[in-house]
Parts: sequence; C-alpha cells; structure tokens
Amino acid sequence: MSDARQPARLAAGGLLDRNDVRRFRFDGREYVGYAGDTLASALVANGVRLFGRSFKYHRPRGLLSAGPEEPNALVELRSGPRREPNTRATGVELYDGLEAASQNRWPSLRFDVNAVNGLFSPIFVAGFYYKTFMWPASFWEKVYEPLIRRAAGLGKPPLEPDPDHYDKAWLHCDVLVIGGGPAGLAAALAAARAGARVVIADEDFVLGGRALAERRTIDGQPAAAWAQDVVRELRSMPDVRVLPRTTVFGAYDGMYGAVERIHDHVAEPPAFEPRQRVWRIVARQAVLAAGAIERPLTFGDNDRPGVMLAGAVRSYLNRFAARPGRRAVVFTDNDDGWATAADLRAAGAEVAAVVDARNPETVRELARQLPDVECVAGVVTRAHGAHGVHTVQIRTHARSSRRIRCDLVATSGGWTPTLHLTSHRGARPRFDEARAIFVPGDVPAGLVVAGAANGEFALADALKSGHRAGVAAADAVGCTRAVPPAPAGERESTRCESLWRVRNCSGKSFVDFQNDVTTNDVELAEREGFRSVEHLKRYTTLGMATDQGKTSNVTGLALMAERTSRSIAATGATAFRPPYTPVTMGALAGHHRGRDFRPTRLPPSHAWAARRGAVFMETGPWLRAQWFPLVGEQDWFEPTCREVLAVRTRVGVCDVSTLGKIDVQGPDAGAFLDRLYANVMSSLAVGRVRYGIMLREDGFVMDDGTAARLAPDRFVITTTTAHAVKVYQHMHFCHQVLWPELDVQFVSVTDQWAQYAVAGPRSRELLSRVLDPACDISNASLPYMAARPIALRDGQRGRLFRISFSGELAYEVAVPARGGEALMEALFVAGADLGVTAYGLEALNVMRIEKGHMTASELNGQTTAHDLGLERMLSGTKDFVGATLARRAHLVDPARPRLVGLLPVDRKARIAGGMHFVPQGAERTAANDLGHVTSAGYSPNLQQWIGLGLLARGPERHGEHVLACDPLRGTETLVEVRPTVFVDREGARLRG
Amino acid sequence: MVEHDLAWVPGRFGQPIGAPGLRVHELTDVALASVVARRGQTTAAASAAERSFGCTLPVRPHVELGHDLAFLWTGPAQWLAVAESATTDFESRLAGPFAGVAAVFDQSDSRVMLELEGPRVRDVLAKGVSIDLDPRAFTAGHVAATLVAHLHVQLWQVDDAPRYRTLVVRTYFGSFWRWLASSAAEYGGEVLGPRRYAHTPPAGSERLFGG
Repeated sequence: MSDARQPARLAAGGLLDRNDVRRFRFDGREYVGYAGDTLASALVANGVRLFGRSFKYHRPRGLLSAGPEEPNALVELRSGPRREPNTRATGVELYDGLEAASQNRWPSLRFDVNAVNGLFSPIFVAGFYYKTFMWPASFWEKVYEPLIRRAAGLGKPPLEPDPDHYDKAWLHCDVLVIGGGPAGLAAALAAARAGARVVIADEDFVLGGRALAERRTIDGQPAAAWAQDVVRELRSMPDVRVLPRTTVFGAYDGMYGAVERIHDHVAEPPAFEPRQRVWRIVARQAVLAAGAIERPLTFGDNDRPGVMLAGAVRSYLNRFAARPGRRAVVFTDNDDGWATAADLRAAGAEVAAVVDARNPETVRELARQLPDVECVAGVVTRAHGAHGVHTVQIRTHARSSRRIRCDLVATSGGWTPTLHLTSHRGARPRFDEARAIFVPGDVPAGLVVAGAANGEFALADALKSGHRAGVAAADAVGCTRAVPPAPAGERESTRCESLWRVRNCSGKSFVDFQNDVTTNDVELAEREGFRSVEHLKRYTTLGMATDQGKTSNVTGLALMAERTSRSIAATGATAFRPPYTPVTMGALAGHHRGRDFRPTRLPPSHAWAARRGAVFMETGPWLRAQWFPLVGEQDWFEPTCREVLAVRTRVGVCDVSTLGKIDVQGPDAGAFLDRLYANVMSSLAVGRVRYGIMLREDGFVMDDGTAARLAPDRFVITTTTAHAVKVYQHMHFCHQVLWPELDVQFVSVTDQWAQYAVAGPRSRELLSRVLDPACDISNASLPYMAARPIALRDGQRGRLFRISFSGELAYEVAVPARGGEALMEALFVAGADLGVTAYGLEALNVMRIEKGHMTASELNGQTTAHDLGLERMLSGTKDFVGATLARRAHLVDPARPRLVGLLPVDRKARIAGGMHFVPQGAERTAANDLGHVTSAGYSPNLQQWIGLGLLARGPERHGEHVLACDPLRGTETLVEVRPTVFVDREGARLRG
Repeated sequence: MVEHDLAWVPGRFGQPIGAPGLRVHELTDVALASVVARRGQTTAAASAAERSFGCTLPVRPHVELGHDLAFLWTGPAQWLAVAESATTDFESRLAGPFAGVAAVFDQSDSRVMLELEGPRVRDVLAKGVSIDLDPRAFTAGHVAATLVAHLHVQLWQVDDAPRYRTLVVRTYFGSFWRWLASSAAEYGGEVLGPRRYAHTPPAGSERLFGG
C-alpha cells in the first residue's frame, strides 16, 4: 500500500530509509520524501510530472532522465544568497527543508505567458537571432540585447555574495577510478587489492551506478547489495579514498579536476566547513568507468511530460521505489528497453504496449518474455497531452495507426558511452559504424576506459573490463599483488538498431530538449549550408545548453549525416570540453576571493603606518601608504601638499622597501652588471652608488635603478617596484642561458631589508640622531651617491645610501626587516622637534615629477633611452643587452615622442595623465596626435599643476605651446613645453 | 564567504570543538642565509661545509644536519643555511668557511618560520601544496621549494608525527596566514605562542632534523 502522502511511492523496495522522512517544498507546495531520494525521485513519488518550462518555446516539461544528463528538470534551489539556478533535480539529494522552484515560467508553471512563443515557432527557428536582430545596428545595445536577455536564460543567480566557503585541495594516488558503477567498483577493488593507492569518485551520493537501478545479480547477490559490500571493503582499506558526491569534471595535463559536493545535501553547511571542494587529482593511472547515457527517441512532441528514458524509469522504480506512471508504453529500438517493461510490471504498473522499431521477427522473439503484453513492431509517432502525456499515436510497420492511452512513455534509443574525459586533452572519440556508437579514440597515456564507457554494456562484460583495467592500472605502477578473479554478472542481450528519428510525424520532434532544437532545425541548418558539425552546433545551438548535449549530440549528428548522405564517422563529432557538468565558480576560486583574490604584500612599516591612519593603495601586490591625513584633512590634496612642503623645507620619511633589491656577488659581478646595464658599472668605486638603466634585447628601456658597490666583488642593485620580479627573472635568464661562464651569484634580498627614504634639508640632522655617533655622515665623509655600512644607536646594523628621488638632501637607510618598525619609531621620536613628516606615494610622485624623475608611467616598455633623454647613458665602449637594437634608426628618430616637462599656460588649469597632444588649432583626431601626458600632479612649490609627457620632437619644442586634450571627458588645456626639471635645476640641494 | 577571525594571535581558531586538527607556532630567533656555490665549486663547497659544519650540502631536496646548523636544498647548487640566531652576524660566520667556493647572503629577516603539526596537518597542507606529502613520497628530512596559495614557500618535514616547518616570505606572511587559517578552519586550529628556534644535532638518532 502506498503512502497516502506519496501517491506514486511503491509499498516496498528501493534504497531508501523510510524512517527518515524529509519535508521539502517545490513551487511553494509542501511534499515529503525519504532519505535516499533525489528531489526528482521524491517528486515522482508525489505524482508530480511538471518540472519546468523549456528555454525557447516555454513548453511544459517533465523529467527525461534520472541522472546528470537531465535537460528538462532544471530548478532553482534554495533562496536568498544561496539561491542556485539551473540545478538538475535528478542530482539534488533530498534534505529536510529543501526549497526548490521551477524556472522560466511566469506567472506560474501551469500557465506561462511566454508559451505563446510556441505558436510562433515557425519564426523562432534556428538562426532566428542572427536573422532578426541584424538592423538597425543602433538597436542592438538599447533594444535587442535587453529584450533577449529578459526573455532568455533559465534561472536567476543571486545578487548577494555567496555566504559559503569553498575549498581546493590536491590529492595524489596511483590509480584514479572515475565512476562508481559496476565497472568502476570492480576496477577500484582490483587495483586496491593489488596494493595501489586508489581514489574512486562518483557524482552520486551512493556508489553503484546502474547496479542500484537494475534488478540484476552480481556474484550471486542483488547488484545493489554487491555494490554496498564492495564500497564497504574499499572504505576499510587504508590506501583507498572513496569520494561520493564527487564529479571528475575535467582531464588536464598531469591532473584531473573534480568537485566534491561536501555539504550540498544540507540546507546550510555546518560552521567552518566548506560547501564544496575542488580536488586537483594527480593520478599515475586512471580508469574511466563513467558509464553510458541513454538516448531518447525522436518523434512528434517527444518532450511531453511523461515521456522518459527507459533506463530512468527503471531507476525510479528499482532504486527509488517511485512509479513514474500507472499505464506505460515502452518505445525502443533495442533489447535493453524491454527490461523496462518487465520492471514496470514487477512494480505493479500496467504496460499498455511495447513498441519496438525493429523488424517483426525480433519483436516476436522478444515478445515471448511478455506473453500478455501487446508488442508492436512499429513506432510511436506522437505524444499527446500538453501538461502530461495521456495518449500516444503509434504506427505499425504495416502502416496501420492508432492511439493508445497511457501516462508514461518509456523511450530508449540505445546508449552513448560517456567519453568526455578522453577528449578533454584534444583527442576525439571514434565512431564504430557496426555498433553505431562512439568508442574511445586516441586515449591519452595513463588512461584506460572500461565498462559501458568502452561500449561494454552487458553487466558481465562491464565487470570483467573494470576488473581488467584495475589490475592493469595497478600493474603499471608496480602493484602486482595477486587478486581474486573478476566478479561475475549476467550477460544480458544488448542488441540495438539505432532509429535516429521517426519519419512523418506531426508535432515537434525534439533533438536537444534544453535548447529546444528540433529535427526541423537540423534540416534547416543543412539547407542553409551549415553542414559541418561545428556550424550545426553554433547555428542551431544544439548541444550548447548546460547539459552540453549529453542526450542530443549523437542524434543531431546522425540526422546531419543522413541529410548530407555521409556516414556519421565522416560527419565528425564536436569536441568535449571541461567541465563535464557545470561547476560553481566559487568552487574553482576556493579561498581566493575578495581580499584573498591574490596575495597582499605588506612593507615593514605597514603596521606603523596603519596606526598613523595612513590611506593605502595597491601597487602590484603591495599595499603602500598613499598619504597620511591629519585630523581635519578631507581628501588627498591637503595631506599631499603638506607632505611635499615638509620634505622640501624640513624632513620627511617614506617607506621605499618595495623597490626590488638584488645582492650580486662573485668575481664577475662587475662584468655581469656591465652586460645588463646600458652604462658601465664595473668602474664604480667601493662605497659609491650609480644610477643605471637596463634595456630589453629589443633596445627599449626595461627598468632603471641604482647599483651600490659594497665590496670589489659585491653590489646591491635596486629595481623599480613594478619591475622587480621581471628584472630578477631577466638576470637569471641572462646568467643561466646567455653567460653561464660568468662566476656570479645573486639572490633577491627585497624582503630582507626595510629601507626608508629620509629626505629634506634636515635629513642629515635627523639621521645623526638615530645613528651610532661613530658613524660620520657629513657631506665630506658621505657625499652624494655614496653608500656605507652603519650602526644604529640600539646596535642594529644597516646600510646608508646617499641617494635622492625627491631632489632634496636625502638618504635611504636600510636595516634588516624585523628592525624596520623600530627604526621608523626611532626616527619619529628623534625628529619630533624637526617636524619630521611621514609621506606617502602621492607626495613621492609629486616630488619626482618636480625633478623630472621617471617611474613605470614613463618606463612603459615602449620608450627608448633617446625618448627619455638618457641617450648619453648608452655606453659606446662595451656590449650590453639591447645595445645593437637600441641604435636602430627609427628608435633614435628625433620625431619619436620624447620626454618633456609640461606647464599649463593657464596657471589654474589642471592636466591629467593620459591627455593627448595635438598642435594648437588642429583637429582633435588621432591623425594629429603628437603624444601624451605620462604623469601629472599638483606642485605646491610652483602652486600649479605640472606634468611630464612624451611629445613628438619634444626637446625641440621647448617654449612652444601644444594643446593637451582628453576627448573622453571633453577637457583640454594649452600647455607650455619645457625641460623636465621644475625644481632646483642645478641639483644644488641634493649635494649640500 | 565566511569571514573567519583570521588574526595571527595565540589561541583557537575555526571549529572550536574537540582537539585541534592543526597546531601552529612561529619559530623565532632563527638565522638564515642563502648559500650559492661559485661557478664549478659545488663539490668544494660541500667539502667546506663538511669541514666547518659537520655535514655535507644536500644534492637532492633534503635537509642535512650539521653540528649547529642545517642546510636545506633550495635548488641546484644552492642552499639555505638555518641556525639559531647568535649575536655574531650569520653571514660573516658562513662567509669565512665558504670563501672562494660559495657566496653567502643573509636572509634572516626575509622569511617567517612556522612549525605545523596535528592530526589533520597533511589535510591542511594538501589545500595548498601540490606535491604529495604521503609518507611513501615525502618523509622526515625531505624538503620542497614550492608554491602555496600563489606564494613561494620552503617546506620540510621534521619528524614522523608528522611535524612540518615552513618558511614564508615575510612581506607575504599575512596572506599565507589567511590561507592557512581558512584551510584549517574546518578541522579547528590552534596558534601556540612563539618558541625560540633550537637546533638539534643529528646525534645518530632516527630523527633527521629536529627542534
């Protein structure tokens, strides 16, 4: 007797825990099911047939399948920020409190306004969008696209951030078994018994695959019980990892991608636990035992709710004890379909007829199994019943037609091996004409295909093939312990004569259910010349939905082959690409979202700066202080001007630890640097610092920085913050590949040192207060561009470089990073009466523009030494990287944009980086472009905006006016072209 | 996204029930230096190490233990010397014995050293470390220069407990810790107070490298 609340639940059987009742809601209505149900099976048990509306025609749809191939029953799961659109009801494990809603219908599932599309279906054919929304072009963005977007799409994603945590992890094994059906279990068991480290993954929450859905026996016991025993044994073995609820979604070079749905089967993951985990599985060998997917038959209105795959009907009956219909018609072109008729009868359902498309002799032979059922050699031509099939039209091979009343059509067009993972690395499956199935083509090394995925459909064959693959995989990794023989199962008949379509049907014959592609669309594509499978796919959208054509690709291909009178093999197959089933982006991101999207690098004074209320900005991975606002200062402008003036009149401190620092040692250190830098470094005296530029091989400037000679065989060089990694890589390339003969060793010491610029007229005074009094830093002892080891008053050792980016009397003081914060504090205690001021990147930038110094804005990879006014640095006495190509005629062409200083003629006018130059009076067009503003800032010293720019024939134009314009924002201003140095042109301040 | 409390402070974090799956503490007062063999001097450098420090320089990704320091393989012909910090400058201490055969670069301040242990330590590390940490592939004394959460990390196994140590670039430590804490959260974790790094000489014991 069936549960009154679950009218289609069988009284007994199924892999359910009937004591564990689970309440859930679908479209607002409350239902109950059991532990062990999927959302789909629970709704079947509750007599629900209508699951959603189709994509284009909004046709009512029910379940087609019971697995990952489901094209129709896509629902929105959960609500609020956890809402998940397009979830296959067949893959959703039922949990207490589950909420789901149908999609693509308004106002309700039974009555949907857009179903009117179906009436206009002659319009909505393949290529409709391409043909209709062509003109006028201006309509596309404002009219067509919003219109299409509103009408199209299935579910709606949540707009709130996902509240759950997702995880990623690596997993290593000898043998990965993909799929936990009979073949996969046999493979895993054999490999594990042979001594291999095994991982077996299955997308289902119970391992067993078709063993759970069929009334078969393995080794003399019911197949499901056998599966349970094998899983138990596998779990008991220390070197085996069983991963249910885990889809291996992709095969990549050296690894497989899998997603484990750890807590999708509960309403909310427990605190701290991830919702899903992406596994990157490194397997020395893999066995693909992914099974096969049944194809629906193609006949008139074959999408009516109640038309279901024959194998799915068996799943619902046998595994879930849910009866999808009371009176069924089975429509098949193969022997396997007949098993459904037997199972339906065993479950107490009436089988109104078995319709087999094959010849009458075959049908007569098979009919002997079902003596009191009408068995017809013929086809179903049409299903009737918009919200659920109530009648089918059949036509016998003798051309007689009639109607049969039924509420379920179990349809089987044969099985397609699931070969996706064999093809992810480029190989394509091969079509076996004799059996009319795709079989593995060039399978990548280390992967073996077994069971139904290899076309071995009969249970006995699948078990044997899985066992064989498991033994072979273990053997390949040196695990050769003897294992018991393969499990034995029945060898049922698997004959099939593929019927790709039923001809002369009325109604729509759907090929791709999810994208509403019919046989007519395939024909239209052929008529219009889209005969390549790749064109067929894109023109009709066949196989492009979220199910990626799992139930439709082969049929579509066969129809195209038929229309073009080619074999299926000659017609070709589209490639499978990862993922096998959709994977949540959040799972792929794992921990790396929000502020953890990428690593953040904090300079040694970060905590100190944060306590001082610094405003930070991202520069590459670094978080750097941009300015240090005082109470009452509103935006960037006031603090920046204050910081600049403090440095120019008193003293300021800025953390410059972000610059790349590379320690270069060895007898050939000088020679090595001579080849890297455009200028000579080997002549530098110990204790001196020199500015240098490096070119790329193509002659353009790569980076600039300083080199300090600490000892005859030791230099420490700096790079810009932006290019630190690139320069270090470049140096390694040059040493390892170009000049391995040089005896030079170098490592990055960027993280070893905290380095601060101490700049301004009082900088020497300030430093002398924190340094050991024995350190003489007078101008005579430590002149401009000198460097020396130092000791601080607290005993800390460090280095002092007399270099200046600001143009003031300035130093860079370096101490081991752990002492960085203490040094910063010491400087501010010691300098309180000097008015010592912390300055950030903005002030640093203004001051370097005032001095015409360059940063990545000018060293942008497109500028040469000539462009930047550095041509005199290109040594003529030695070879260096880029030396030859830097002398190419067009790289030294004076007509190239070259560096100039810029002053707005109107002293109140503002200029901005990115403005383009055109001659005065010329049109603001690209043809008249003379270059652009690379850097701009407000100089509180000049009390106006200043800038640097790259201007064609720049140095020849000093004193001229050009127009700087920003066509994007519609602003422009006249600027005076002038030399690049605005403050202290003679450099008197830095030498004082 | 669950914003766990990811502050690097002693105490429990993540799942609060039961024994923590991961215990972690910083090892302070450690001296580090990169040692890179001069051209063609790899063997000579190894002999110098043997003479002065009582151990050779590893030629594979392993740790070698000397009287009062350890050498970690970091790449072909390059190593990281690890010792207890002393008042004398580590770089000068090494520079003498390696004069002419290897260059020495002080890195004591460039890395943060952590020690990790606990029943789920392998599961936690597997969330970021792409190499196989199973005992049949990676055991006490093995070292790896690898990537974790986009960061360069040196990782080695100290004993069979298993205990691991990691060296993480100091300026990136915050990001590394956020990854570690979020990865261990499901098993529960505990930050223990910092401990001084202590070198354990080999002394013929089973343990290749201890502390």
